[in-house]
Amino acid sequence: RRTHSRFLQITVQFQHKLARVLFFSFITSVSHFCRLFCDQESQASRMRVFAVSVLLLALLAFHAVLAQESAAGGASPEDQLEEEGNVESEGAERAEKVPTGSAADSGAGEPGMASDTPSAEQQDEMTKLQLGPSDKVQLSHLFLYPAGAGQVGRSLDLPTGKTIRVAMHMRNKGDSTFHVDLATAAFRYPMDMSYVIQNFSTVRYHGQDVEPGREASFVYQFNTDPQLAARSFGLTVQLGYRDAEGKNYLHSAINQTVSLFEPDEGFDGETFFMYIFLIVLAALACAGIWYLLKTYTPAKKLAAKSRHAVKSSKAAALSADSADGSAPNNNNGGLSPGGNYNLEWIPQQHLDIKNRRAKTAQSPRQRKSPTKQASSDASD
Amino acid sequence: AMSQLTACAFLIGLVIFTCGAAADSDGGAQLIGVKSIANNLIVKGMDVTVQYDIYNVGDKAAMNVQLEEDGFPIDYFAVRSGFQHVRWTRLPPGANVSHTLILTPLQTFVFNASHAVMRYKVSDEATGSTVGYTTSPGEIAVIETADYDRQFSAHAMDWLTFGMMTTPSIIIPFLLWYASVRKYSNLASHSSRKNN
Repeated sequence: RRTHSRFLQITVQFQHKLARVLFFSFITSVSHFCRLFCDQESQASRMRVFAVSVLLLALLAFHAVLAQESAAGGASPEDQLEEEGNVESEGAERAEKVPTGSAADSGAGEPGMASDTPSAEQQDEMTKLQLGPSDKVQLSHLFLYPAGAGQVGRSLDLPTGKTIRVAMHMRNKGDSTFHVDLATAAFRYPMDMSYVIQNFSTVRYHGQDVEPGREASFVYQFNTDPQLAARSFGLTVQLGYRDAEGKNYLHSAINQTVSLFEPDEGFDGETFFMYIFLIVLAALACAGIWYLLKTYTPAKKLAAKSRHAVKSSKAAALSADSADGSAPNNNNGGLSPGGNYNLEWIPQQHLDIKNRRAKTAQSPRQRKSPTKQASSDASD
Repeated sequence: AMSQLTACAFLIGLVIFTCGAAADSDGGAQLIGVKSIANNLIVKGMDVTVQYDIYNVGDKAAMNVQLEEDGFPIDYFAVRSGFQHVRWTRLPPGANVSHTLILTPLQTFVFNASHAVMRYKVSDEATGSTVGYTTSPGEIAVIETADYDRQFSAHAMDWLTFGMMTTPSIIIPFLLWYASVRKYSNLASHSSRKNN
């Protein structure tokens, strides 16, 4: 029905535009044909032009009239469907069309879902079906969870993401037995209690009897969605019962504005691990800084200086040709000249610079034998 | 001044009257009774805890509050602890009391836990007792002990049996290996002794 109304709207608008276009084209073509007519030389050609122009203008006029008519004709169904067109813009206006306080209306209440909007006759019927309270019954309520909510002096605040438990108390002040069937609840728009935002499940009590003069208690629970942002809703919790004749009643035990809040959990895993992560990052940063300082401290600069000194002393040692290759100054405390590694574990023959065959360096393949080589060296 | 005074008095009287009229409870005590079963699972032969909470949401103290629980037949449930008929002398407005009844189901069945009955006097000067019904927990199913154990028991005997049955496939290879190791380590020690 909604799509049909949209289509009708679009065609009506189109026909309005079409009518306008056709009218303007009619005017321009009239003037054009007049000019053409006046420009003709002979009578025959003038007649021809006149005939053709009259035909075309008649066609144009006919279409324009048709478009206008359908545009006008579309207006009357458009009036009836006007409220559907308005739903998209003003959701609260819907209240005037839908009977108030009727829980028998199972509308989901989303803006734009206008398929449930009834016509005038249907609205009258629904008002007749509307269920209300019985004056022989007195209801009161108590919030079991959260305990003490909504009591005198405290606003009704409900946490999100929790199961809310309400106990309803019913007192039968009449003369006949009531049979309690169900309880239901809904979150509604606080400014307009007929507009349902969220319906909660109906709990059945299987026709529990409450005799005249007696009382009964009923528990109803519902879950508030954790994703509902902290805001206010109109909460209605209704008890459905019927009397001995079978007439149904729907009585609001709670019909007030509640505000939802987000309860703080106490231990939030996310925050806890975030703190651990930050501590680790800080520790990592400190470790990085310590490492950098260690590598680029004055000790490094000293080592660079000593490397220079050792280089010059090495050159001196080569030219000096001393038998004892390990002068006290060259030792550097068992460390390398740069101070980077420990020399003590390296066999001495590799460290003795004097024994290095720097001048007669040749490929080991050409070496015949160590003894032969020494003799050949000696001979050289 | 006189007219002003009377007007004031009238207004004050009106305010008091409306305040009194707005009170829903007709000025007496109102007791809400909540009967709930604390167990998640009800198993034959294991304890079922039934908890009764009575809240006074009225304006006056409820006198001579009696709680009568006749909904657990004697051949289906055995009472382990707690009373089925309880009495409190006085329940002040805004207060609540709790009572616990512990039962053991004797059979496996589906049971309709109905309401308990409360009797109380709405105020000191009330003539008769008001009868109220607590909430009903609804249908409860008592399950077999075997079904419960299958899910929740420690299965000690099962583990022991399992251990005994898997032992051969572990012990036999171990013994073979151990014998072989010992043989070769003995040989090695012999040969080293010989060499030395």
